[in-house]
Amino acid sequence: MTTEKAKKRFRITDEGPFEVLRILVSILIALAVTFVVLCFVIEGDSIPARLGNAGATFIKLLTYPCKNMFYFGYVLVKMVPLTFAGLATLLYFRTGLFNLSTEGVFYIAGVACTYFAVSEARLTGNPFIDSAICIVAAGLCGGIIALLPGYLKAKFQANEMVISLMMNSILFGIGFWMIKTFLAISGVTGTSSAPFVASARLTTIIPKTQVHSGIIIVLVMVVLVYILLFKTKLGYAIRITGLNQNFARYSGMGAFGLFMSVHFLAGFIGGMGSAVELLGVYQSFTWSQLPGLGFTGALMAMLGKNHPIGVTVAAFGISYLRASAQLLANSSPVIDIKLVSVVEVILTLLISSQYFLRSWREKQLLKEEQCNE
Amino acid sequence: MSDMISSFFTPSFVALVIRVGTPLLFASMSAYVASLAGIPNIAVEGIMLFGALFGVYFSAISGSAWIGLLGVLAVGVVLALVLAFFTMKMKADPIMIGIALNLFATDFSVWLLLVWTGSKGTTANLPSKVLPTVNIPFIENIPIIGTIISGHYFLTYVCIVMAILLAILVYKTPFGLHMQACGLDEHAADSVGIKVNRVRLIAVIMSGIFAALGGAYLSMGYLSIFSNNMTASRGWIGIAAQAVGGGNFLIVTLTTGVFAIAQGIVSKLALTSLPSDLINTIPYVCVLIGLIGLSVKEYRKRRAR
Repeated sequence: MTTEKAKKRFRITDEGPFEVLRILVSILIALAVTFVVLCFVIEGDSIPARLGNAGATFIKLLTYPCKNMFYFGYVLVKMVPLTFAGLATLLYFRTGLFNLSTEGVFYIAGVACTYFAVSEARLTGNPFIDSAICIVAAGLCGGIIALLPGYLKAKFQANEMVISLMMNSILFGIGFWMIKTFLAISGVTGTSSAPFVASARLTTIIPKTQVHSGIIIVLVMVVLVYILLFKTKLGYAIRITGLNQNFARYSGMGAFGLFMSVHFLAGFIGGMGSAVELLGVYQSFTWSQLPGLGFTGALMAMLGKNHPIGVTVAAFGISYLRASAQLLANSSPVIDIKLVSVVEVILTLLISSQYFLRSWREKQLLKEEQCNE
Repeated sequence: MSDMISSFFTPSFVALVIRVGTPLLFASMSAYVASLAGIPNIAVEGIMLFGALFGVYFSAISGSAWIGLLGVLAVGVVLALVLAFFTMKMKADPIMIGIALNLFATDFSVWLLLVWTGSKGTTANLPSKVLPTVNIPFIENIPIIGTIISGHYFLTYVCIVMAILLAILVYKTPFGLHMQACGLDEHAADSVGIKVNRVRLIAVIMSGIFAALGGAYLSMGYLSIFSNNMTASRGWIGIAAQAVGGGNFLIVTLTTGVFAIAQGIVSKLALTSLPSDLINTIPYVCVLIGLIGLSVKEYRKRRAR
């Protein structure tokens, strides 16, 4: 009886609550460090004045997006590409693949999307179909590109991480060249493409904000990836292979087909994300360097514990701070979207540390044992 | 075009390859020494970027390039310690830590630029100092050899000396053997009394120093300013060279040499009317082909067995 009662009691040292505690402590530490960094660079004559200024700026940073609907909508807009990139990367990570090609896929699939989106001749004029053409084209492009490292990994067991990194640089070079040479406004040598046709762009769904229909697409994708991972045979194979490659092989799961499908799916999701971001936010293709969304996707996957819903939450949290920092950038010389990298790096360092808070937990468990005795 | 090709066989081209190859060799050594000891350092790119930025900053506030260089070393050691602490003490995945540090370096260096200079582009308005170029007496006057060997930046010679020392350390000293043992099997190494964590810590610190020096070379020699994202994937090339060569330092160095030649060809071709974006991908295509060739070869070897 007593043991059953003890089991039901909420304990912070249990697996689930402890994980939540770890994440909360990580967030607190990350924010505290950001505050300290702010204190160092903020203007102020004396130490109290600096602290005050930093405190005010810091609170602004944490609350600004809640001020009105437009700002909050901006958070949602920022969240869309991060979630897409996170979903793509989590498929790799779940399979035990350290593939970082989402960065390059985002770029080249964006070029594929632009190919259709800039020309009325390649579109129908129906907004729904036009957006779909561009998004599917980008997805297919991403999927096919991702098959290259997938094939090398599946067939020759090549080092997929280094290959994917080299591919990022190559895809950027090719993509940028294509944008400049074929997709720019004719006669103009610039670094951006011709403007997107209006019917290809995604529509705004919440009035007076920038929130576009991409947010619906991304939420649908989150559900689909969830179903794929936890309700299908392929998803089971993915999870088992990620846990133990040998077990998967010995139980008769073909590694070749699995790796190829995972790469195609991840590439497809990455490509879709790129198209949705471009058509939702941009007027034309203007990325003159790699957008950095693919690498952030790896962080999202890690912070979200490789779970689709976790990734969504992580993407929301990081987007919240990024959006806030970007909105505040004009009001303060030291606030910039890049400052959020402090939060990102500390969260990643702490959450990926298996031993973070472990000794504390063990002490608590030991104490409990002693009490019980 | 034939002018172009014949220009590849001149002493000045060899000198150019050495110039563009120095940061690549630093990056390769950084990736090599860390992964030899069993902690793959993916953060080479990020550490290089910070090395480049802090070299400029410290030399600008102190007025001395040498103090700037000391600062660079400190930055390299600090970042290496972060990597070592989280991977060894906190049991985090070194790859994840590496990705995080790289992203952090890319973004945070831009933020520091903004705070220090008010612009997100370059440190052109900081009065930073440059490490000297070294003209070797007598040798500089010999026609061909003088052009090739003499007149490089200070850190190029440091790089070459360090590469030789590293080769001696790895292949001729007990410590080198310990590093290899830790990389192959930490438990086996531990069982014969090697202090695995200490060996790895030293290896990772060396890795951090190499990477930071590679960055300093870029902003305190090759160029005299720091500009946004100036490492431009050089760190990744080092990691790729390590992946090709594995534990064999000679192959790592030779592979780096091939990439350096590719990079040298790129800087020559950049002067022509060919599309620069495509030209810039040449070194990465070389790396990619090298990696694919390597994995096909290993695949055949496995199948033959």
